This record gives sequence, structure tokens and C-alpha cells, in this order.
Amino acid sequence: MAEEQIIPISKFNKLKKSTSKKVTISVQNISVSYDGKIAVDNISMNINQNEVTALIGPSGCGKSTFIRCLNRMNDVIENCTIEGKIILNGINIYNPEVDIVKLRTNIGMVFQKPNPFPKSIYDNVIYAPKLHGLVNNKSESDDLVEKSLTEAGLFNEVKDRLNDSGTSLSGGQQQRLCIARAIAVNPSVILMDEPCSALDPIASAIIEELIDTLKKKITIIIVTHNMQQAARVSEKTAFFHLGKLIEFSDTSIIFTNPKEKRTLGYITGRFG
Amino acid sequence: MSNIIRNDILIPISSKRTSKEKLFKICGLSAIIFALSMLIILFTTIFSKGYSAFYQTRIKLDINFNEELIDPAGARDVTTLNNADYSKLISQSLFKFLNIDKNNPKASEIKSLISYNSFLTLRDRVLSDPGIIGKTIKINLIASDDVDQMIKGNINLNISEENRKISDFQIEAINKLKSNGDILTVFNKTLFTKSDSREPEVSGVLGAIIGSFYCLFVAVCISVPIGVFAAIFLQEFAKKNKITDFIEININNLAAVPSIVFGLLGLSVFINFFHLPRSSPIVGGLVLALMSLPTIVIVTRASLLAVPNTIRDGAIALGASKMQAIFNQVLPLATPGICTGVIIALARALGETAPLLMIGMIAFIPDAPIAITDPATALPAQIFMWADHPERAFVERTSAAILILLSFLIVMNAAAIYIRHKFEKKW
Amino acid sequence: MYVILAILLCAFYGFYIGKKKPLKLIQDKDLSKLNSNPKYYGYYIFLWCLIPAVITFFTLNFFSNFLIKQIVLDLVPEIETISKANIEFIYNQIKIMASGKADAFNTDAKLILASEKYNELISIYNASAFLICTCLSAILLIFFQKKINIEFPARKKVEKFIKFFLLICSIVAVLTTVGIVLSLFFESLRFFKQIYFLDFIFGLHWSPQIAIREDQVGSSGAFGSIPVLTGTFLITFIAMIVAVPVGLFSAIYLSDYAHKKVRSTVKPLIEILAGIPTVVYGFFAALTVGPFIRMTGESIGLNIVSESALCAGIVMGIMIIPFISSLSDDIILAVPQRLKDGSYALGATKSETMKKVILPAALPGIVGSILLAVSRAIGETMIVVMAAGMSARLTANPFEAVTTVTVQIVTLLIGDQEFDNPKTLAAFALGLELFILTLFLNLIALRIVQKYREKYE
Repeated sequence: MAEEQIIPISKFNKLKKSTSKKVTISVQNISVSYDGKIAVDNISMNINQNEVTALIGPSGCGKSTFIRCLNRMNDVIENCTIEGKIILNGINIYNPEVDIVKLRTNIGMVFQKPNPFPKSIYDNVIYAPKLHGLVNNKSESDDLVEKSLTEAGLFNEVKDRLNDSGTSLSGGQQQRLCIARAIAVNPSVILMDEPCSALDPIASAIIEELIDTLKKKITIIIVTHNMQQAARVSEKTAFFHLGKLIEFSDTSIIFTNPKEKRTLGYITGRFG
Repeated sequence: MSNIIRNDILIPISSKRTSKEKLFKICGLSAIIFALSMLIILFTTIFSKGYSAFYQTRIKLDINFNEELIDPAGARDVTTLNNADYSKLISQSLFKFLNIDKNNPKASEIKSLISYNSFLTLRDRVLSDPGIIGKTIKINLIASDDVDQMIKGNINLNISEENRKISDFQIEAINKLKSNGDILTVFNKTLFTKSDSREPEVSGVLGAIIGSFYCLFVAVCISVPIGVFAAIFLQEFAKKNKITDFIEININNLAAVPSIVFGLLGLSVFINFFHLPRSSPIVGGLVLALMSLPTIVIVTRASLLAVPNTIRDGAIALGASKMQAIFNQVLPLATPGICTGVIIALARALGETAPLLMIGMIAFIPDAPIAITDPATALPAQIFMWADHPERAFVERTSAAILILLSFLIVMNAAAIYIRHKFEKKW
Repeated sequence: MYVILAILLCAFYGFYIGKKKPLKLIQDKDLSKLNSNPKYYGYYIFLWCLIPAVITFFTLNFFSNFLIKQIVLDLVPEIETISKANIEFIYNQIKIMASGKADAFNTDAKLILASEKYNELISIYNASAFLICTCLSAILLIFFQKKINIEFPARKKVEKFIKFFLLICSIVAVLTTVGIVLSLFFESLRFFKQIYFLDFIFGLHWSPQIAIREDQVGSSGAFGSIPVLTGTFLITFIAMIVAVPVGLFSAIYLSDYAHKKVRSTVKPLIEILAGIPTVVYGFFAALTVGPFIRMTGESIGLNIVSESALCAGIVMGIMIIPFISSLSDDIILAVPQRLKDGSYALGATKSETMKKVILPAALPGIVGSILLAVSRAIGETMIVVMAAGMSARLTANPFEAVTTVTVQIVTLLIGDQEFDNPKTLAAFALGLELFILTLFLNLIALRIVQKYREKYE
């Protein structure tokens, strides 16, 4: 491989590799099509527990569609057909007996554009726990809100104004609020669909630090079009192209010595 | 936060939540079912009450055009022929058929079996062909409204005679006529060829339809040019300043003013100040024009907006002036949208009654209007007037008139949708 | 009308000349030398020949009518003693006699003189109008024709005129509003000269009798509009109770739960309810709903008249369902999808998302649409005229018959038309009340909806 083209990434970042033994999610032959057009074609991969798995690839390659399969968000879209299995702890989440509502408390999601509800910060965080009956009284709620906001690294900044509207925060703060919201229901996995693309670099850096802390307790899957970010935060990286999974292995391998030509082409900037 | 992977996704959420969800969904569904069933009930009620108006009962009689009664002098003078007592011919024929002496105390009941206006039919026959005097001819005469309703089964024959509109004697007579094959049920032409009348069996909607047509015609001639031009100005030429803002607020507000206020305007300005003739389609048309104006302006603006700027830019780049670009390029492309909007606005105007009440179009007008300055009535106003009459025959006709009005509306709306589909370009 | 013909003739001739002249001026047929297309020169002259003459004609017409009427009526003996309404009648008689179509009904000698004078004046007017207008047209033709040369910016001038004309068309809308406000205002003013203003606004007794004597001003109370207003509000309230839940839930179901196909079939069907003329609803109410409610009431021991507020209210509610349904549908769809996604991703059910996230976010818009629907209900006439009663009762009982503002306006104005009669003027005062009320509601509703739209777009 032409070394001089790959040096920048490996030279300035410490690339990680996967050490976990346990598999949280096993994706088996997932295909998604909209109105007959195939968006995601026969993906199979295993997500390891307590690690960050990054999904990279050029625009329109199906990464967002794929990640939305993991918490069955594609179910709300009409004319969307999904084939294959996704096994979470031995259970196929597409099994008709699975309660979608429960599933989504197990697998949370953070979106590209921060979307706090037009309610107070407090109400944003306590919204889901209240619905699922995880808290019974005010003091439990207060505790949970404080805990979630702390884990999301936001508590100190907003502890004096928990009743302010969630939309009055800055972009980065809003995204952390969304993360706090997702954490509050105690999920085992959090999906992040380009969480930093609408944020400035400083806010992005804060989120990346947060991801590093959170992964100790939660498995994280992150879609990103920013290769450097993928190299920084993830242990395993999957490269998607035109709906297919081209290569999936340790981050250190993907960014130093990818097996596939297309992977190499993408990370060296020849296309995408 | 736990390290442990939760295993509870197979356990469904609390039944309280599921039942709340179900209840919510059922509420939504029942709301829709309620709305749709109201629609169905409305249509079926009106249809069931009105369809029978489209046919009418006629009685065949042998009329002896007795010369002594019509023209004893034999001069065939028009005035004499005009003034002869033709209703006597009818009663004579009836008495003969039923074998009743004219001095019978119940004779008057027999006379009222035939429509009061039938003498006019006989008179017109004689005037057009005096040669029939002296002959006996079988003629179809329109039955009176009570007979008509009885034949249609709308009168309860089981209640006692004093509470009925038809006496036992009359029923006997009708049955005799029926068994002789002299009772016919034919398509009710009168509904479409005649105008309002005191007798329901000879009343029709012709005058109302012509009146409505004139009103709409006047309304189109006024509101379409003014509305389209105003929209062109506001959309293409007006600069964003306080004046144009004010004009826009006015237009948006007018769209929501109750229709009766326009009627008051028509009354005080057009009739009292400008002394235009009351109850005429010209005033009705003016009022309807003002009511449709805001809708037409809004629709035209939307259609103009939908034409992409590339068309305008292209025309100007070729050397056209702004006005030429708009009138020669943009306006033709916006025309389907404008047509659709105009038709829909007119369909609304067709069904408006309140302003027409104010300007007097609910007078009893027995003749169809000829000029737009003649007093006239409009179809919705006619429906309103007939709805006040309690006779069953008028109930039937009101429903039929409603069906006619609704069919006009359906046709107009269908035309609008057709135009929209066929001609509208998706940019 | 010969005058119009003459003017048109002049104008068309002017157009012809205008078109020809520039062509004559350029010897070498090179059209690009001209400032504008030849037809614009033609239009220019056409407009100058036509418009001033037509305006003059109409002005002359208006003033001459006025003048002629004054002069002719002066000839009628004892004109001061005749009441205003009769003056119109007599003038009409004079006109009929003048045209020679008078039947034998009036051979009053004094009026014959007046009718002859009328004829005389009419012929003077006709002749002078013809002369003035035609001359004006011709003069303008000659004057402007001289102005034409190659550089003359005919197209610009014509387009300026057209732009001005478009502006005038836009002003018609303003004129209409002004017309409404002025006419309502002035008639109401005349009403308030006879009936004390506060009595009207706050009076509790409405029975519009005419027997108002001079010394009764300020103490009659027979024109108190409160009972009429309560009737309107009662019926509107009942209508809203029907329309808001049904409309809102239909919108929710159609936007969130229904299949695309179901939505595309059901939505237009509900819209049909909005397209049915209100007179049909009124008939339906009087014919079917009223008796039905009365019979149901009898069977459970309640005494409900067939003209109850309940009947009119329910039917009006049915009519308003599509307003609320469509507007709410638009508003719910305007809530950004990302809020819905966020809620679903947190494990909320559809109903929870709707109740706790979407509806609170859409609330201002929905309130705005309800206000617009209320405004529509208040102004509705036909349903109430045909289904509600005439007696103004101050009651909150939906089983009784009440009357509304619109019913009273209709009742007061169907009948004789003496315009000084407080009975007829009361209708205008009610109309003014109605207009102000609906204007107020509309403005608030539009403000709310606008603010809501700004938040999300």
C-alpha cells in the first residue's frame, strides 16, 4: 500500500482496536428497500459490547438507513420493507412479539439535528422515564434528571435553569440534552446519527469526550461522515458504499491497512 | 447505568399504556365515522325525499270541447276563446266519468282532483287550434298535489278522514280512474320548464336557474378581471410597503367577513345609494362578485407564485419588458390554476343565500327573468322559500331543487379538478 | 347610447392612426429604429381618446341626473309636503309618463307639465353630452397624434397606465371594506340617534317594535342586543362542542394513524361537508334533525322544541367540522418530523407522542383555527334562519329556541323598506356588531397562526 497517502491519520491520532469479547448486537443479512429501490443490501456485522462502532461512507450510502433499523425507526416510514434479522441478546428484534416501545428504551437514539422538545430542560429529560414508569415521585425524578444531565456533562451548565426551555440552549448544549434524555431510560445501546454535523468544532469535541466516557457503560454506534472523528472515537469501523458493507474491522486496520480498494479510495479522499 | 444487557424487550409495556393507545385510536376513528355518517345521512335523507319529485301524476280525461260552453256565438273570436270557462269542461268530464251529478254536495271534492291551473292547458290548446271545438279529445292533465302525493304513497291513508288531506270520496274516485288506466306517472317536465307557483304541482326551478345563471354571469364578468389584475399587481409589481401590506390585510380579512354583511352592503350601497333595481341579478351578481373577489385574488396569487422565476428571467433576458413577460409568458402558464380557483369560487357563490335575501331576491317571482335588470330569484333562495311551505309536495320539490343545486356544484367542482389534473404543470 | 359609440369610434380611429404614423416616419421599414412596437403607439392614442371622454361622460351623467331631478321636482306642486319615500314614487311616475308608457292610472295635470320638462331636459342633456364627449375625444386625438415621433416612448407610457390600472383593481378590495364599514357605520349612526347606544349594547330585552315615541328615547330597552348575542354564542358554543373534538380527532387520525390510501379518500370526503350550501344544511336541520331531537327528547321525558338551539348548533357543528379538520391537519403536519422522531426514539407510543409532544407544540395553531371556525359560526345565517327561532331569550338552555344576530338581521330586513324606521336600522346596528366581532376574531386568529408559522419555518 502507498504509505505516504495514509500517514496523516495514523500519524496524528492514536487509532484504537477492538478488545471486547462480548457481542451486543448481531446483524444478520439486513436489507432495506424503499418503494422497491434497494437502500441497504445484505449487511451482516457484529457489534461489540461497550465499544464504539463507527459507520463511515459517502453520502447516500445507506448508513443512516441502516442505523435506523437497529431501533426499528424505519417502521414509521411507509413503503419501507426490511429483511433479515437483528439479534439483541438472543432475541430477534424484528420478531412480531417484541414490543417496539420497550425496544426503544433499550436502544436509544440521538439525531443529526438536535431536537429537544419545546418544553423545559427538566421536562425534556424526565419525559421518557415518566412515560415508562421509571420514577414514582418528585425526588426520584429530580435525582434521575440530575444523574442523566451529569452523565451527559451538562448539569453544571444548566443546574440553575432547569425550567428554561430546552430550545434556549446553544447547539452543542441541545445535543447534550438529547443525549441526557436518551440516557435517562437506562439503555444498553445508543445509536448516534451524525450527532456532530450540525455543531461547531468545540461543541463536537465535547461530544466526542462524552462518547469516550459513556462507552464504559453503554455500547455506542455512531454514523459519521467525518473520518477523523471516526478514527478518534471508535474501536471498530464499518465502511459502507452504495448500500453494501464493504469492509468492517478494527479502526486501526481500516485507517492504516484496509483490505478493500474502495475503502482505501474513500479514506484517502479519492472519492466521496 | 447498568452493564447488564436488559432482557425485557419481550415483555410488553403496561396494559394501561396499551389501552390508552387503543382508546386514542378509537376516538380518532369514531370521529371520522361520525363525520362521514353525517354526510351519508344528509345525502340519503334529501335524496329519498326528493327523487319522487322528478316524476308527476297525470290524469287522462276525455274532454268534450263543448261549443256552447266555449264559443256559443261561433265567431271564434280570440277574446271569447280567451275568457271561456275551461275549468267547467274539466269538471264536466270528471262528473261524466264518475257518474256524479254536478249538484252532488261532494262535487267540489272531485273538481279539486285536477290541478287548478289546468284550465290554462285547455285554453292554450283551443287557441292554437280552434278546430278542436266540438270534438272530444283525451288529454293528460296534471293532477293536484294531494293526488300526486297519494299516488306516490306519501299520505297515510289509515288515519281518520278529518285528519287527512284526501277524503274517502276522492280516494274512491281516484281508484276508479286508476282501474280504468287513466292515472299516469310521467317524468316531471314542469319542474324544469316552469318557475315558482302557488300550486306545487306546477312549480318549477326554471326561473331560479336562469336567475342564478345571470347572477353568476355578472359575478364572473366583474370579479374575474378585477381579481386577476389585482393579484397580478400585488404579486408581480407591488413593492413591499405599508400600502400594499394594507391592501393585503384587507383582502385576507374580506375573505372571512360573514356573507350577510355583504348583503347589507349591497342593500345600502347598490340599492339605496345607486338605485339599482331590487331583486335583480345585476345587484345579486355585484354582491357575489365582491364576495368572490378575495378568493380569486388569493388563488391567482398562488398560481402566479407557482410559475418559476426562470420563466420570467428567460423572457426578460430576451428583451421583453416586465409587463410583457408577465402577460405573455407567466399568465398563460398560471391560467389552469386560476381557472380552477375561479370555478371553485363560483361554486361557492352559487350556493350563497344570505346576501341574496338581503337584496330582495326572495320575492315570489312567477316568471323567469329576461334581462339582468328584471326581478329574479336564485336557486338557493328558491330552496329557502319552498322550505317554508309545509305541504308535502313542496317538501318533495325543495329536496329535488337541492339535488339539482348539488349536481351543479358537483359538475363544477369536477370540472375544476379535471382542469387541474389535465393542465397543471408540476415544476 | 350614441355617445359611447361615438367615443369608441374616435378611439379606434386613433388606434389606427397611432399604429400607422410611426411606420410612415421610418422610411426604410427598419422597425428596430422605433422605440416601441407600433401597436403601442396605437394603444397610447386609443387610451387618451377613450378614457377622458368616458370619465367626462359618466360625470356629466351623474350630475345631470341630479340636476334634472331637482328641476323637474320643483315643478311639482306642494313638493315640500310630500314624504321622502313618496318623492321617489312620484319621480318614477313622471319618468314613466315622459316615456309615453303611462297607463291610464295617472292623468294628473300638474305632473304632465313636469314630465314634459323632463323630456326637454333629457334631450338637452343628450345633445350636449354627445357634443362635449365627441369633441373632447377628437381634440385629444389630434393633439396626441402630433406628439408621435420615433423616439416617443409609447410602450413605457402605455405600460405605466396599465400598472396604474392594476393598482386601481387592487384598491377595489379596500373600497369594498371601506364601503362595508361606512355603510354599516352611517346607518347605525342614524339608528343610534333614535335608540340610546348603551341601551342597545347592554340592554337585556329585545323585541323590535316600532312604536317608539319621541319621549321614549333612552328608556325603551326594546332594542337591547344582549339576548340576541347570547343566542348567537349559545348556538356557536354547541357547534364548537360538536366540531372541535370531531375535527381535531379526525385530523389526528388522518395524519398519524391512517394509511395513505385511506387518508387520500377520506380527506376529500370530509371536505365535501364544507362545500354543501348552508341552505341545504338549514333544510336538513328543519326537516330531519329538529324532529329527531324532539322525538328523542320526548322519549326520555324532556321537552325539546323542534327549533331548539341544540338542533341548530349540532347542524352548524357538522358544517364546521371540515374547517377545523383541515386547518388542524395542516398545523399538525407543520410540526417538524424531528420532534416526532425524537419522541418515538425514546419509546413513546403514537398517542403519547401526539398528546405530549405534537399537540402542545401545535397548540397555538389549533387555537387559531378554532377562533377562525368560531368566527365562521357566528356569521352563519341560513342554518339558523331555517332551524332556530325568532324569540330572543336570555337563556343557556340548549333545549329552548333562541335567536341569533344573523336571524334578526334577516327578519328585520325582509319586509317593508322604510329606511328611517328604527326597525330596519337596527339590522345595520346588529350588522356592525357582527362585523366588528368577526373582524376582531379574525385578526387575533391570523396573528396567532402567523406567529406559530414563524416559529417552525
